Amino acid sequence: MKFLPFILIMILSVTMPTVAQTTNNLHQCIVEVLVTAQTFDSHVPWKKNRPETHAGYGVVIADGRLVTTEDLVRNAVLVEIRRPGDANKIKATVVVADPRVNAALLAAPTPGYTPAEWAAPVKTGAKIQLAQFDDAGQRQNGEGRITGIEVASLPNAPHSILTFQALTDLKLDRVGAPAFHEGKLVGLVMQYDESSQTSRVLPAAVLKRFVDDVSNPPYRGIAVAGFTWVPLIEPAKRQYLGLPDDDRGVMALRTIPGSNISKVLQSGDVILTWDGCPVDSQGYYDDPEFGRLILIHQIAGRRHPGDDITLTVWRNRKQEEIKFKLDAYDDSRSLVPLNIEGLQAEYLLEGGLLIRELSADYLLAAGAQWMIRSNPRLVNIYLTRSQTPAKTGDRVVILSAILPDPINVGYKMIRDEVITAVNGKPISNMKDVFAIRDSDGLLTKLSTQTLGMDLVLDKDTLPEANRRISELYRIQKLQHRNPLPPVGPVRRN
Amino acid sequence: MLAIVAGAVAGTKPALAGVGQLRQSTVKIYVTVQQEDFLQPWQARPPLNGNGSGFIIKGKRIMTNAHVVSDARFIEVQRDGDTKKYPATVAFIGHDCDIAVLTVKDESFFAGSRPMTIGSTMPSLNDSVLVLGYPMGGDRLSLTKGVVSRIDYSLYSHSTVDGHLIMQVDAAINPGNSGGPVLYGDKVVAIAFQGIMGAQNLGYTIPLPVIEHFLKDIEDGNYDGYPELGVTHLETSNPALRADLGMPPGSSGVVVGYVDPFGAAAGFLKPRDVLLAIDGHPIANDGSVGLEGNNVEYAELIERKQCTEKIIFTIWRDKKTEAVIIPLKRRPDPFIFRQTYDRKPEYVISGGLVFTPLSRGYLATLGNDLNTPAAQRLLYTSRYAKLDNLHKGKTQFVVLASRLPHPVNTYCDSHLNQILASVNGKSVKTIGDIPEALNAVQGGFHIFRFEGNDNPLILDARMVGQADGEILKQYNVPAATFIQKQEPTK
Repeated sequence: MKFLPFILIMILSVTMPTVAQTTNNLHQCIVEVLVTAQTFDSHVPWKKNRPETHAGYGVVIADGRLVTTEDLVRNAVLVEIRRPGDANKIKATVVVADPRVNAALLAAPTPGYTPAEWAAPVKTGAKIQLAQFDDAGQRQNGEGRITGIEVASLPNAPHSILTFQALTDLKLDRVGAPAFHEGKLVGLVMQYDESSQTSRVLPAAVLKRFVDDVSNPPYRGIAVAGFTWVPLIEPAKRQYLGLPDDDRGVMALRTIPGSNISKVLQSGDVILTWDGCPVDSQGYYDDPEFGRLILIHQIAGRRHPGDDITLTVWRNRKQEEIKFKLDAYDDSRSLVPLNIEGLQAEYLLEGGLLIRELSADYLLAAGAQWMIRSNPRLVNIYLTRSQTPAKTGDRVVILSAILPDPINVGYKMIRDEVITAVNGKPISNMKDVFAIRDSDGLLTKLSTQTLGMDLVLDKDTLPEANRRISELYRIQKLQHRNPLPPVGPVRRN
Repeated sequence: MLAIVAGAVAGTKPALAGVGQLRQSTVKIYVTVQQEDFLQPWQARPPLNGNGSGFIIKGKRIMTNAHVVSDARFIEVQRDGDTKKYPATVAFIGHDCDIAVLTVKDESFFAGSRPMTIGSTMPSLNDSVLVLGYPMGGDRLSLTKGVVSRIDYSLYSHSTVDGHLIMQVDAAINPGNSGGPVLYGDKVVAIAFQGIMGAQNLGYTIPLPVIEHFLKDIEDGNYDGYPELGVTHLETSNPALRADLGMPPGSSGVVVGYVDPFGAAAGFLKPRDVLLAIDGHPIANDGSVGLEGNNVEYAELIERKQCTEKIIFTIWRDKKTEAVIIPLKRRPDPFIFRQTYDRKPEYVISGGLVFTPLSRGYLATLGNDLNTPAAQRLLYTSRYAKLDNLHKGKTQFVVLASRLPHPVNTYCDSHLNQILASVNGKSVKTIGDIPEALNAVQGGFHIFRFEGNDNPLILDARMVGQADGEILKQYNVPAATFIQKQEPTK
């Protein structure tokens, strides 16, 4: 069976419509993607914000299958595609969208399109062609050059992945515009900066891996190693650790509790090689495809969850070899999930007291100065402990706000307090809160981190107060529970 | 904000003083101040000139705002219409109440002056008052009429953490007005002290009760400041809460939610105690007490007392009524992060790394840089040090404030603004611990560890030894350390 992949490739290369080889027919793989998105209010979890519409591009990669950037289809309630310049819109569905890599796979009928072919990895300096369309559907062609290949942060998510920088002569106005190299898809534009005429391109390598992973369900997202590290460039620190003077190795700081690596890696270990590649003191390695890249790409970009990894570490002035299996990235394991996608928060509104879990979007909603403007204790928990819950499943449950009502008179000044127990029983997450409410019928007592006394609600009048609050404040549901894990790596439509 | 209807006693309207008399009592204050530079704590910022207002009170003294003369290097006072300026010195200063008293060595300054009388009755709402001073740098006395528009508790921005009674008037209070008297009839009932940014015709003044408290406090030759009860309470208007606390029907009070370990109540009150009465005055469910015909926040009764006095609470604890006598005091509390003045910041420099204690002044220096993860930890620490027990085992939080670049510390920038946990394995409780810890060299290295950071900062001890003198010389630093002697606890 070993020869099978080879045969498959042979057949594909014969039967699949060949790539748009010339600039003229490149555009036959490009679609306009029109998205109506609606987010939930970060602070009022039952409220949906006004729908917004976004437009971008996608590329047909196989019959009925298209790729675009995840941030374009984030929170989509409706996704439509159309041929540029064509009035006819066709409904598309999001198969999988992963904010961790900013990639989305869409499904829609694509008769008459010519699927694009993936370009092989390119080097810095490679020439690229770009295409976009004006309102009349006229194609605008552009030329450009890859000026940088690096692991950089995504425009709309706090994650770093392999990214191309490209200098282009076309003013790009929408995300998802495709870039081609020698007639093959080299990436999708994620962001364009007019002042420097540079765009950040999501590389085909990332997209192709994502599409391949999606076609081997279940989609597990990208791999993570589960530890933090710092460069090890200070000569004094290297001498203190007794390291050989060879400019190799980064220092591991913390491992995520419960991760596979936490069983083998210790804080203070110096990682000399990762998966067979030497790691330099700034955390770079020589990538066979893209040259000098930061370690992150070797973990997330070249391997899959469950893969075995061997590394050499410097521990107690000796070299040791350790092995572990990569984990899958899973936001829901965090003490404070990022919730990049702005999914509806689980909440319970009891007697006007809004109880929910802390998530990063809740804090970030305060705007650019959120580290100063949001509650200092909650920000501190997020910045320092987000990745290290004491035990799996732990979250920070907060009394987010209080809707004034006679039932909660005297409490209305309290907000953003950490809840430690409800009805006298300790809690670790909303699941516990819901379980206690289910068994007790109502929540009548809240214990908080700061106050040495409980907030109490009258048991007898609480059901009536809940009805009143629901009606007065026009809240359809006094609680929202997620049937699935509250926040996961992936959204499926 | 705590609502209060002020202690105004109706009376006959007193006659206004003549302008000539007023000119004999008001003083323009010229001051040269020099604020501290928390990032380069061995030197101060450039001197700045300013001016404020003041008024002569009995005993050949001048009363003004603390903020007018804080961090002053040189103070001069000038009577209205006099061409001569006289050097003055600060006799007493209360940063928590923003009042200071100055003296002038050359007594000829007071020749022909008329001390102002501090009133004994607060004006009522809508009563006319006269604000005197030297706003916007003018040399001649300015008089502005206004009415008392509100009497309330408010934050005193000079210390950034203290709140006392304020009297709001509808006369504009501008820079230079600070320290000027507010007259009701011919008597001083307040001192002009702060305005609100963006608000028009709205001035804040320090009212009579706060002035009286200050004057009484300094009678013994020392300013001690206001006693701090240190209790956070919640009203008990919620019937379910009252039932949970087992409060008897008809009773009222507020429930203790948090007791500050540095407050006077520490060891006397605890959470869930219900404060039923204070000095015999029943406390209502919203925390107010009836006093002289008005409802005032119960804290007003503590505000009126001095640090040597006692307060008696009737409390509800364990379903019983108890009397608790609390000796009022003001414990030195390094974790309230009150703005400090006239104090040089402490520092220690080693290997070009500048360590200084976390302070309000240091946080203010950071400004927008606070919106970074390391600095956010400082902000959090300044607000939650006691609530989240971060202060346990410490008397100061020592911060790596800056780096004087030198080859010995080339790679140390990533630790800036972090809180020092230990040096060479010895925990840092106060900045004074650093010099000794630096003697405990670990195998030729200095190891600095920071709170919440597993990444130590390591310097070659031999290189540090060689570099220290060089760095001080290069950057014009007079001494490697400045450490205050521990203040004796009163």
